[in-house]
Amino acid sequence: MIDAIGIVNFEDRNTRVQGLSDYRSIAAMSFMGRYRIIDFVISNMINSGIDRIKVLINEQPRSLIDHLQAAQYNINHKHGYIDLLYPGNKYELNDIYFHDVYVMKDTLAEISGQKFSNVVIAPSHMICRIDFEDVIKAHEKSGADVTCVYKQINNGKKKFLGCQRAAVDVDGRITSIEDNIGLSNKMNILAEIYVMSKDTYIELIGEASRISPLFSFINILSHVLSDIKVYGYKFDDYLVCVNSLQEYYRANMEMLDLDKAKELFDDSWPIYTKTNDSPPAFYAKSAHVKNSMIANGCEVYGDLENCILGRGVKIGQGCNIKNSLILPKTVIEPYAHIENAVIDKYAKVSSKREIVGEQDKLAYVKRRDRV
Amino acid sequence: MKTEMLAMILAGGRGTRLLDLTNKVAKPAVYYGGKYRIIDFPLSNAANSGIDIVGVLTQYESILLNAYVSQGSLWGLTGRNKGVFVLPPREKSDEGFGQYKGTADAIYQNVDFMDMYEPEYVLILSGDHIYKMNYAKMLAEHKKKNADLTVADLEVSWEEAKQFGIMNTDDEDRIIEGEEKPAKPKNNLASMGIYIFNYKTLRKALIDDAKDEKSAHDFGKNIIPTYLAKGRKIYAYRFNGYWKDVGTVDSLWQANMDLLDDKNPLQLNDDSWKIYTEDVPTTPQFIGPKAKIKRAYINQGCKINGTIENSVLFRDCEIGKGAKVIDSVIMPEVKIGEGAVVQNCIVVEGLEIPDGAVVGDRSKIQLIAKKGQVQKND
Repeated sequence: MIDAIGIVNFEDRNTRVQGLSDYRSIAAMSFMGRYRIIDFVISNMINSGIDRIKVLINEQPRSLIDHLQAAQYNINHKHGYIDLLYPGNKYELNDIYFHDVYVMKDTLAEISGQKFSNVVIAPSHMICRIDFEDVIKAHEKSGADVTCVYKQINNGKKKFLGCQRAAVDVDGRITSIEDNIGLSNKMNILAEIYVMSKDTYIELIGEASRISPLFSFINILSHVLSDIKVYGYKFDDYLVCVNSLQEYYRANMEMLDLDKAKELFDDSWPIYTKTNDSPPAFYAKSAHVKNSMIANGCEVYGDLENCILGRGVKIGQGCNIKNSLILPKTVIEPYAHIENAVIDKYAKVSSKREIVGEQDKLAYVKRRDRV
Repeated sequence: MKTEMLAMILAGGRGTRLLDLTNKVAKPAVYYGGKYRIIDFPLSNAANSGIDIVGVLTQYESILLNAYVSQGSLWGLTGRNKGVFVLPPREKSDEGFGQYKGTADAIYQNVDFMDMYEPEYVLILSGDHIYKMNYAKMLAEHKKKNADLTVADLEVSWEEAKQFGIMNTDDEDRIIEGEEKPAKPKNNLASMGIYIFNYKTLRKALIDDAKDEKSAHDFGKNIIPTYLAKGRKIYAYRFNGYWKDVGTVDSLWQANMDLLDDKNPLQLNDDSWKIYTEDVPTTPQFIGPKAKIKRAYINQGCKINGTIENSVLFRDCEIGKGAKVIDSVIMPEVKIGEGAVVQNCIVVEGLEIPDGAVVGDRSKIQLIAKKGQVQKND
């Protein structure tokens, strides 16, 4: 256990995965057929020794709450907790006032009475493997007020669009923060992971609400850059931001490259999730499967290549499915032909149906849709 | 705390004919079906049947089994007035240390445990059978017939009947006689070792049996004959589903192979009667670009780059390029090297089979439990 609490943040309201976001927050979206995206940040916290975790909940909370209340995160509930924070009076608000600081305000009274030194804020729509203990140590050593994790990237024109880019001076101090609107390739992208003392957290959230009801955490942080010491922590490992259907698809598919997957997974750093008690996957005599990831509970009678199947998916005989992401409990009837597609949960694709998208223009079948 | 029917699972047996599989673990903890341990079946059945209190009586090599079954939450057996309780033999204030000397003696030695829950009925189960069964339906029959004891029975072939405890019944399925492994069976109803007793009568019968020095303290050999002699009402409860007592390496292999049948009667994918088990955090299974898979049951965490045919693979197995796994059961964390061939085998947890090794052949089922065995076949 380390002397910090974790706060899991949500994406801002402009960040959406087309189609999927109509039903759940990015945190609750399926990843690699087995996980939800939020499992990574929570497992990072637990593996780092943080067992007091507050999860900020935004729109479409059902799916996320359903997952969190049953996930097996191995939290010791006598000493630790996972709190779900959802402001009860949200619907009196215009959407523009509903941001992270609005929910964080609710934590202040409780937090001020608790004993711990640091707060770690981390997002639920980014995926990486990071030891927060290292960040906290660096933070304490540097004497910074706030430490921000960032990654140097070389493809800013295409990736991390809409994320925050930071200017970092030679001493490691962050001098400006602005949106990445794709003007250059080389830049420092914020991983939206922030470490600060409890007092700084309380001050910043209070200050944000005093300045403007529109101010989110990133707004207040940009606002105080010249007044307090905000330092960067350079992170060089795998980092992905799920902020569009294309990126969601790509992040999933990238895991079919096991060398990439190794950057997220190893035995010393388990990723916890919810068990569905599904049996092993069944492959029939008629199945042909290549380069794919298959979750438990699947029954495969047809052909798959470069696919990821969520739990309990049924693939009928004679199906030909390529480069596709099939979310849990979907049924694909015999002889369907699917390429470059994302098929959302519980959908049913009828026999002989063709659903063919392109690599840069994916086909999408809605949740519970029957096509 | 009162409970209507509590379940007692007999899980102390070794299962000698499973050879090295039960070297360090009791038979109920043996792996089955790519994911499960055998005891998951009675525990899940009990949970799904609405039974709240389950005692698990362990004895032989019980360290792993005790640790495993004490995680009641795996099967949903936690919550208000619910629980799984591990009951190994213990030292008693009045009788000293009591090893379990037979099935009936094991239950007798835990009368004080059962008394705590004031049950009306006690369900006696075996920890080493694979089947799905709704014990609530069996209890309803038991009550309807106003029975003292109900024995679940399976219709077996007349040939098989010679290897089982056979229940001879009248027209109304009342049991009038029991025969252990009869040479000339009069009936083909085999006892599944699943009993519902009225607790009060059972309690007294167990105490009497414990005093009888000639008794083998066994349900089949002693308690049931005593019940019959006293004219107590014993009824058969007919079970029609899939049921396997995997007593040997061959039968364990066969029970795994049964799962590869599309119409396998166990239907582990049926959401309305799930079999629960431990979930170990690991990645989804990965089927590589050169893999070939035909008729297989594969669990999470496996990385397959070779050929899998007619086989069951447990969690986190790695199958190298060009390797072939045919008609085999591969237990967790086994690594099979490039170009190796494994046929007709059960390979135990954690074993490494080197590149190019040839293990097993068409002639018989082999248990591969030690490294040396692999080299011999090399």
